[in-house]
Amino acid sequence: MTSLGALVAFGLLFLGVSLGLSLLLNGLLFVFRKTLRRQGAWVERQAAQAALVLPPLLSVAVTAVLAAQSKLALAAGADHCLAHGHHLHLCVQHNAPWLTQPWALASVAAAVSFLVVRFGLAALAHVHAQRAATRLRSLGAPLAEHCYLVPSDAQFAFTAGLAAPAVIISTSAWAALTPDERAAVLAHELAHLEHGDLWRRALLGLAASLGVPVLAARALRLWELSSERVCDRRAVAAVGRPSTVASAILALMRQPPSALAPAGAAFAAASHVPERVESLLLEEGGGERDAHRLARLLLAASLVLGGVSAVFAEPLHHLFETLLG
Amino acid sequence: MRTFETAGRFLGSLEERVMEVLWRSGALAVRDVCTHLKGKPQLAYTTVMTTLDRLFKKGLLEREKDGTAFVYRPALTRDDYRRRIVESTVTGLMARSTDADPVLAAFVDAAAEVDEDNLKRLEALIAERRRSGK
Repeated sequence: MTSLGALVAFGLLFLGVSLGLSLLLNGLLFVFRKTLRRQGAWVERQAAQAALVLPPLLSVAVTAVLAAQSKLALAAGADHCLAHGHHLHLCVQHNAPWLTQPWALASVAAAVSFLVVRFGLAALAHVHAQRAATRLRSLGAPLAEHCYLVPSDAQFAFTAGLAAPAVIISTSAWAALTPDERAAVLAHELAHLEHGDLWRRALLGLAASLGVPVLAARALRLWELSSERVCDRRAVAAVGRPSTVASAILALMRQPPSALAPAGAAFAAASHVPERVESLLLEEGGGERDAHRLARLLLAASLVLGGVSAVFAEPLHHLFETLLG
Repeated sequence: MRTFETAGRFLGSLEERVMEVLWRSGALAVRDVCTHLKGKPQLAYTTVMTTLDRLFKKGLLEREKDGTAFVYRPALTRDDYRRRIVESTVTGLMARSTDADPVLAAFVDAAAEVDEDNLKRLEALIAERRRSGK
């Protein structure tokens, strides 16, 4: 039976590996930021996504491999724990005495509570947002599939709702745009919907909780900006001219700030606008194919890492024991 | 005083039916509202009276004495009502959306203040692109 101390030990292992990989991947993201920018929005988005998602995923894999190694060793009658009582044991059956001390349990309980509250609050916010999106849909006039025009003097155009997302545009924003600009706004928002960006952002936010705080937040900002640029490219594909999409962005930025929203509430902060417009006008390539290549490369690297940790489970096990204890 | 935001969030189905009657008919006494409300079972006079009083307190109705009874009329048009419900819903949505957990993806940030010089520079860039046919 798995002991409480073993759970604490493997929990620490999971967090340690996740933070270490987060440091490594986000460091690479920072070092290669200019190269990634040159490769286009798709590649930047893919790289930021990987820097956020891979650390917890690979950490789960490594933790699972080491737990399995411990279980298999015990089943084979090779209980190595008796041989080294001097430091922490990564063992599903035994553990070092300090792991069941009140301070160790309190630390783990605090970390788990933080994550539960963090995830719970995020889930509540999304439930509320879905209700709001449903209500706005019922109050609006359909413009196209999933798109609704709602009466308001405030200017807004956004996509909201995880379960049944809707694109909501105010009559005031609609009136401020030319027909081509309207098409650009709809295409941009529908691209968010098609890419599942709200789901992705919600999951990436949770993954970021398991990364190095400042670096993970930076990767999230990069993902948000590159996602906006990816959707801008989709809008260009729909309306034909980058300048139309750029002028739609500026047309809505030209309006007086809305009293409805606190700054930074959506993932299209004001600071993104100059970069988005410049990116559109410079006609930077989207780099979709390169992004797929990068995704395949990262998948292969992850599989190799998983394979290596399985093959070298025994020395890896002892390495982590030494590092942790 | 109750805000419209409160009204927008908690308007029940009977309240909405009563509002529909008054938007269609204008000013009505409680008994007339009862007559106009369709559906079975027939609603009790006191139920309708309580509902009208609640809508008055929410700021959706105005009323004046006509003899011993009150006559109610809408304090705002149906369009204004929908507009305010939309705005109160969007306000609530934006308030829930934080930097850490954004729950919407906006085309541009609705609350952003923009550097005028930067905007002019970008507009000049767009104009230049348009001249070159792009």
